[in-house]
Amino acid sequence: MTTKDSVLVALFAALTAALGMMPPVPMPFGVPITLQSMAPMLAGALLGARKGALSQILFLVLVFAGLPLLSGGRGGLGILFGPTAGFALSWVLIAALIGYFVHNRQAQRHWLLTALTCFTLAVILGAGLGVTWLSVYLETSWLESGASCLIFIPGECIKSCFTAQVVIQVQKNFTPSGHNQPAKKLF
Amino acid sequence: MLGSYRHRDSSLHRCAAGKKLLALLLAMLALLQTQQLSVLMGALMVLIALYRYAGFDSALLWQTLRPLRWLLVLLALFQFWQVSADVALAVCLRFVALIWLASLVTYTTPTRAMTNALCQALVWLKPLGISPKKVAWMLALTLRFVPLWIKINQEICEAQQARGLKPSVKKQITAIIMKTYPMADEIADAMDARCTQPAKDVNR
Repeated sequence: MTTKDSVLVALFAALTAALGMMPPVPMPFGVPITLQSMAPMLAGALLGARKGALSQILFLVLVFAGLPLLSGGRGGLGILFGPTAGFALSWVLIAALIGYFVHNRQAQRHWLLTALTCFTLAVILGAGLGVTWLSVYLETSWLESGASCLIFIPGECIKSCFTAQVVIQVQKNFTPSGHNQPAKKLF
Repeated sequence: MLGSYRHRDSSLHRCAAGKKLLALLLAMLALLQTQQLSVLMGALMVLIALYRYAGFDSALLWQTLRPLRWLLVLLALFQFWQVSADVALAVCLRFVALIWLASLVTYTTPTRAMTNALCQALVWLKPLGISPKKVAWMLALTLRFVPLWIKINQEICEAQQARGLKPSVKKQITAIIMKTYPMADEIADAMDARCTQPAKDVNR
């Protein structure tokens, strides 16, 4: 891993923390969207599987070490041993798999395809790890835990679309080697 | 940026972070196995005694549970409705015990010691070419970059407002990401020029 790679990984880990400090976006269906869970999708899609996953591991290490970096100012080992640990840990896998399927692939040609890939992977992994851990922790059935998490699905959908559009916009302004092109119609 | 560590003078504070993490893991596995009310009540008593021994007052116990109080109430009602009062009580007691236990380790371990212990725990990343030393180096970089991002975010907000643009999360995040790549180039060049990375980890 080159110095630039390490710096990029650290920058995305820090971006995950910074997104947690941005105020949640209110939505018409009630549950506000926290931008922080967009970070694993962005890290995976823009850095690739290995570096994206590493950036999320770095972020989680800092959270578990006790720094209040999760949205709402939460942090500490209580997160690792709490009911939402599965969702936090799924971020590493989400970044890795989105990196594998989206980074430098044809899927990047159309934002809807990218959004669909991000959404599917985020929901499958969130359900696989997050809901499973929640159901074990709270001693409820998997379906009951899953049903309680359905309220987050519209938010995930919007975040996937956001991610895909951001990724496409960034790709348009950068060559594959990462060199800056003159920005066109950014705003 | 402050961690959750609370300085006191007790042997729990002086105990090595790695040992505390291992003990926490074993205790968690044991707690997840049991559903006996007497065992769980005993565990809670031991934890309250440990908090007193570590020099914390009982207000901290409530403060730790405060963010999770509604989840706890919902969980109790759900289990009571679906199964029985005994199971509801057992699940809630275990929930409280696990949160108190994990938080006790967080409160008694300085953030730096905890970060070091967690970095050592990431030794399984070595086959991927990432040593614990490198992880520690990247963690230090990450901590440095968090305030930088907050500053850049404010600058972008101000620039967009100055140009009469409506606030847009998408445009804001795009602009932030667009800054990442040139910034990474500049920082990496500056670091290489100063040989800041451990020599054996430099691959280019």
